[in-house]
Amino acid sequence: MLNMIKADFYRIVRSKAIYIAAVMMLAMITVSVYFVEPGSISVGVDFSVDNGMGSGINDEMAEMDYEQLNALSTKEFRELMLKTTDYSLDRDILAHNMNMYYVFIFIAAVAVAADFSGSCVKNTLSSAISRKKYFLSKLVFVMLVCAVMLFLNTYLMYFGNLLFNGSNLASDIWCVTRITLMQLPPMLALASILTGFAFIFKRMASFNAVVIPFVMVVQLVLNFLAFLLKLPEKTMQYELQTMLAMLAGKPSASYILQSYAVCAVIILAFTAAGWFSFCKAEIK
Amino acid sequence: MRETILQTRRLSKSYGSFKALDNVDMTVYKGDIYGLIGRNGAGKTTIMKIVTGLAEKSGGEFELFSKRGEELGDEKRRIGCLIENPAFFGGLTARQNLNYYAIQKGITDKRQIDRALELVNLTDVGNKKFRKFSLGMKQRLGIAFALMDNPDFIILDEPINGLDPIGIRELRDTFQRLNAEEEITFLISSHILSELYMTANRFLIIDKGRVLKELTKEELDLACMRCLAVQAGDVKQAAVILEQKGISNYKVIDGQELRVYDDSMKPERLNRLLVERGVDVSAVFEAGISLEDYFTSLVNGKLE
Repeated sequence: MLNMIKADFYRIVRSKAIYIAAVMMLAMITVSVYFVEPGSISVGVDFSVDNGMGSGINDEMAEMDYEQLNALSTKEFRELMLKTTDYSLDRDILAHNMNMYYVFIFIAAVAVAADFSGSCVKNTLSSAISRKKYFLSKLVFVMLVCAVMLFLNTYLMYFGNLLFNGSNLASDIWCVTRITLMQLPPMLALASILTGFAFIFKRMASFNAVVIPFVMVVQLVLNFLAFLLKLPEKTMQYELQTMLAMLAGKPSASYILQSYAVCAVIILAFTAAGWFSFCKAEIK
Repeated sequence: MRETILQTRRLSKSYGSFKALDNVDMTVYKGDIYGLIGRNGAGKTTIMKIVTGLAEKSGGEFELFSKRGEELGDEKRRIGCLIENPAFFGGLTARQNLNYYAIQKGITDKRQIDRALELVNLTDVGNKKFRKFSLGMKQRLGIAFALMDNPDFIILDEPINGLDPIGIRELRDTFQRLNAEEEITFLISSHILSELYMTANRFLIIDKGRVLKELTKEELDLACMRCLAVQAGDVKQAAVILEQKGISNYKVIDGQELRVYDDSMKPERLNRLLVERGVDVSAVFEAGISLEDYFTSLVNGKLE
């Protein structure tokens, strides 16, 4: 299994996809940091969760109406934001970490879907390794690379924020490290969702067709169900995007435990679905 | 007794109501170059896929290196395969592709990559990206992958697809040399009977998922050799008469037909010889067919 992971590292650093993913991550960080817009290309809407990282609205902005705020140029907006004292931009950016899902798509695609799409999987399965070891090593590999990318994103963003915006909008490095560690379970859940889909759909085209709109579809379905079944608002706090935002704030111990339990269920469900779809499938 | 590398017993595979394999029995011994012959869709690739774990069997069983298929673990390392089309990562070079699989297999001696590339004459293009390879070069790289890691058993599915005549000959020589010098066992499939005939020493003829015949090269030669075929009421008596006349180069087929492999014997003379000694001869005719005719006749059910 270790050899499989080593081989995949050998291959992934020679593929364009990982560099495209890195460039995409850098672009998102730059947009978020420079424009003081934590969401950058964030999927979904702004969160109405109390995450205790400040509102990002200072006295000067509070006096402006909606039209005045909209009329501000980027430079003027930046200057205004930099005057804010009770706002941690880095933490707010981490709260919007659902963007990393799109970076993770590249990783799952190059690590798993490319193997199936090019039929290279048959070389491995026919003479090197069992299906079980193959599956587990791919899952571990995707999770590992996603975790590395997550921490890379955190520290690039943290130091980028210090560089562009100074210490006014920054927290300390231990704070962002702690948040990233706390966000790790939902991030691994996202990685397992993508790995599961790669093993279910196998071909790159179908994999992409499913995973790209997946988050939006899930949010739509959940909102629809919540409306239809009149679910308490609290239920939506266990949706992954909201979970990431909550964990970046000041969540209660019970919420952390409950959200991690949800992540464990997601990881188990998608791992099982991927495995059962793969274990007996004929390799083309 | 010869060591068995692969044995299948009543191996079956169905896709819904379609039977891709129907109770296939075959045995590959150590040192064989075992040829799987069949038309497109006969079931050759399906056998290879099941044996290598790329497809699940629907029935029957198989043993590889004396281990049941389901129990295969590290024994897989002893197999080298090229199944269907050669598949590699287009963005990696030939050497990088082989290196990727070498890391997977835990091969630390990188000279094995050079040796494999050398065996298939790809040393000069080792640093060229796979996506820029011609069909023949891709095929060679697939074979290099199968040869890497010094396997005991190599499974090659239509390995000569896309190769030029010189390339085919070189590969044939390579297979035969590896078989003779390193005792590597081969299972090779092809629908080109004449090519497989020059490479293999045992054959399995398969059609519509069913085994038509398993035979050695000598048996195949015998089946295709020019001869006089005699259909007689009492084949045993006819054989005794031939022996008395000093003709020992004959064979009894299924107890109903006698085949005489003697160029000097003419049909009318043989007929007279047997009839004069009281044998009821129903037919005497010249037999012996080309490999292609033999295969066609088997497939069409004209031969037993």
